[in-house]
Amino acid sequence: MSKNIRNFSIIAHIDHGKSTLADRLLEYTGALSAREMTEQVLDSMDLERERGITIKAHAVRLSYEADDGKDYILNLIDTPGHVDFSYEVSRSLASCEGALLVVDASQGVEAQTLANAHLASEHNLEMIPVINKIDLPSADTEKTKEQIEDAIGIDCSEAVLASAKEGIGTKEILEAIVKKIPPPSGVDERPLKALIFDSWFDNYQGVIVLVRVFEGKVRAGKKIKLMATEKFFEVAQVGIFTPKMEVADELSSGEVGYIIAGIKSVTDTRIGDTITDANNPVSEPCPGYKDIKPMVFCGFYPTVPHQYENLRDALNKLRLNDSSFNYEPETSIALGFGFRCGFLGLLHMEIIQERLEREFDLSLLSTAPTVVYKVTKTSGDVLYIENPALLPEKYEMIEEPFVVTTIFVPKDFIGPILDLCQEKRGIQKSFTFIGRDRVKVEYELPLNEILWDFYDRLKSLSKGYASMDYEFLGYRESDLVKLNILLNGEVVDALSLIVHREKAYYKGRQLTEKLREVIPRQMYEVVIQASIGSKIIARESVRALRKDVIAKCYGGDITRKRKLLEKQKEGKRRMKQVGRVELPQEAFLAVLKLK
Amino acid sequence: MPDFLYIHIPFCIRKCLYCDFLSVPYNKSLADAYISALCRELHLKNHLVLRLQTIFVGGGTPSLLSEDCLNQLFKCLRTNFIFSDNIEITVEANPATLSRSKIDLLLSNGVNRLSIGVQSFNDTELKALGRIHSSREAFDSIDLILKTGLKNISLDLMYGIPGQTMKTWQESSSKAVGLSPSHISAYELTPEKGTQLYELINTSKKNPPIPPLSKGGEGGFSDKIIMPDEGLALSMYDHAIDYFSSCGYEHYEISNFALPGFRCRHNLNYWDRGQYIGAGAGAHSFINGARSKNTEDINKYIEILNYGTIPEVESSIVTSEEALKEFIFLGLRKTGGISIAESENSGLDIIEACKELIDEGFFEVQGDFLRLSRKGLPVSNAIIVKLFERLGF
Repeated sequence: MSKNIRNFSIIAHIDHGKSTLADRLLEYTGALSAREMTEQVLDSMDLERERGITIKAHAVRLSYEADDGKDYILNLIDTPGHVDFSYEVSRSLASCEGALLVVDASQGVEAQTLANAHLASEHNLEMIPVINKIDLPSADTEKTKEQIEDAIGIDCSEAVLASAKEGIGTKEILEAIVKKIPPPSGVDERPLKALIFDSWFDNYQGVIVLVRVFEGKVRAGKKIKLMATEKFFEVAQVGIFTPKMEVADELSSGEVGYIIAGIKSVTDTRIGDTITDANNPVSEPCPGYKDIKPMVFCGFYPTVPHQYENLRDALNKLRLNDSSFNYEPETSIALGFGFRCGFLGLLHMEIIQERLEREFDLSLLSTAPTVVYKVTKTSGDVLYIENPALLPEKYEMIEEPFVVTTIFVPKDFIGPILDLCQEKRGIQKSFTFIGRDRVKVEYELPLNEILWDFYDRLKSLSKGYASMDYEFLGYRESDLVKLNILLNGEVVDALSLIVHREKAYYKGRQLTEKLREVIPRQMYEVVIQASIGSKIIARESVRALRKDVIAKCYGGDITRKRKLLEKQKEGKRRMKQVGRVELPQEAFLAVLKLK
Repeated sequence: MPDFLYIHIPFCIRKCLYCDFLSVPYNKSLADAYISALCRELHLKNHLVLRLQTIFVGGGTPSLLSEDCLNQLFKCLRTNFIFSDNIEITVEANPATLSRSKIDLLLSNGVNRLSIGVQSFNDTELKALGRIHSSREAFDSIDLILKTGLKNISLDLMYGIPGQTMKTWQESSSKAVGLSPSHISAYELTPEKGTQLYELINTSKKNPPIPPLSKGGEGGFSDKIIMPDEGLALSMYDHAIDYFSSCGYEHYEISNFALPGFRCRHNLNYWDRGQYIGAGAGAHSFINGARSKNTEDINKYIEILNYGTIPEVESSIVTSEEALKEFIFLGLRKTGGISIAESENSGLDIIEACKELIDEGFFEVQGDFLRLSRKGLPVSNAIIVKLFERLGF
């Protein structure tokens, strides 16, 4: 017997109105009264709301009485909206039978729309196109439909026209969910098989795991096994979010909810893992589990050494809630003791850094982000290099990660974008018109090249219209060299980077110039050099400070002069002493500003 | 006891472009009311003083006050305070505000030191600074003073003026020396935030060239303002030290030079962290370990004193760490430096903290004294900040 349950996600490009639509659905179904609604409840972390990005997936149960007179349970499974978190998105989608494909009527199909739609069709989800923001003067619903049909290949004749902001189309969306999305098909009597699509650490209850039950049932007291980590626990509580947390007797097949089982660390509850009966396990876990590895690395160092312990504690606390980033202690000759941290992507890295500084009141210095290089030594041993400073002098072969990048852009801007991809060592794989005036191009690019300014430049070259998405391809051999930066003759390990040989001279020159701009004048001349091996390829210098004096000091206002000196000293405190040279944070990020 | 008295006269004919001291345009009735209020304040503070060692009447332009006002002020000083036998009484004066009779009046009231705001002997530069006098008027005023036989005259000079060259600076310096003053102050022009000059430099950086500031040659820059570059300003400073020293002036403080026996005792007291009393709007005091400040609002100042209360608006006790910082940064302004023994008595391991800076030639040790070297003086802020760091402040 099929249950009156519908499990669905909302997929959309950033800013196409996903969170606002979720709010409307909650409001309409009475999950929250208007009074209780804080705007965009699903994005609970401040940072998410500020950046308009959903980082953590959540699941909310909605009760809806449809026009057919029956009561339905609708489980809305929220998904992260950024490419850094695409694995998490795929696990959320795997927990659903259908998805709302939300497209902004004034923007049309964007790269993330496409990427997420592909993910959804891989999981055979029923997609309901929703054309959002139809109230905007620039809305073009016909063109948007055409683009969806062209690019994604789904029928838009019954697309729902909506404005989440104005509350238009909410009921139609709910009806479409009930009518079009198939009910779940599991059997309660089979052994338990539940997919973990999110988990986080709660100070009072330990790890809370969000699951979609595919087969069987789970209730308090049941002994469970986590299949990938091979850990066993006893369930203490199960329940649902409405979005308030509510205890339930059991979760049965087709349902979505949480499990608390005295689990101490999110490292045990890997996203994508399967929970089963400890005594009567299923033979096959849910498909698609991956042990995801960080793609981007950087070093975090406290600007003052005594914050090292605090930094370690803070990293440990964040890690409790986010198993997708990791950290290991490292030592830099220039920066002292710190941590090498790995992230899913650049945004993920920025979020973690911001949280460390904001929530834990730390003053951090971060080194330039780097990808992981695969180095085969002459002995045949393979090393993965997450820190350019550690690249050995001699090796047999070096490989770098490549991604396939999908870019959507109005055809008027395509020229400069192709040039950009060329400049970034890209290899064109496809070029397709979507509708009459949009183009989709696919390029294979080294991840390293798209890590920092690529997205910004893409946006500025296209007046903000281009969008992109990427997917990991694999490692490929490249002609890479280590570029060292020397200050007054000493190599500063934290400034080393790995670059393509053809770009080394240019980057070395640019980097030394940038450093000259950001390093303040000091009591001695600072000579900045770039080298490849022992060969110096660029040189700049910051002249010594020659004049810094209060000419006039009388009239009795001594306090003001003292404060002037104290302020000057305060400014110095934010700098990192490297040998005799004082470096501001900008110096370590100067590499990001290279073209 | 704070036997050093500063009196602020906040009136000028016109504010100079670079000025960040408290001053407003002169107005006789306001000035009269102000002097009456000032006399009340002096009366309220007379119990703090045992025997005055110095009085410094600064501004503004004290020489702008009417003869009646000046008489009233000095009469008030005599009634309220005991003067030490060798008291130093300085009055700041600007050329073109001094007449023979006003000079005689000051001298007859016991003033024995005049500090003249010459700034430059080059008319283009004077105009660029927004000064009201010409070089001719400066010569005339100083001539009048010299004729009275007054020995202790200080001249203020400036370098680093927009448009100034090494040659014009050398000329101004030698003209100053030619008048045989007992004391010379040579300041680098510093565009302080909030001054007209600061604004002008910023605007001309943004959209050069700027339109003429004022019509009819009233002063100001008619062209783009370009400050002399750092190297030039530094050479000008070097020239001041070398040249004035060669003429017999001792370089005793970062910006001050004096013939033997003519150092300014009033200012030395600031650098020695001595106590002092300030009177007048915006004046500062340092009494019993607390630094305080009078209101800068002239009308409020007058009003408060009409009620017979002290017009103080800020006061704070100097903490022991702040005191040590003051001892260092004020003391190091003097080319003689600070006493190592005194530092050690205060618990500062000063030699250890300075070790590197001494090796690098920024500091010198002479007997018991640690002082900034010729190389250290022009970068004293950076060095003092470094020293603070080493001392764990």
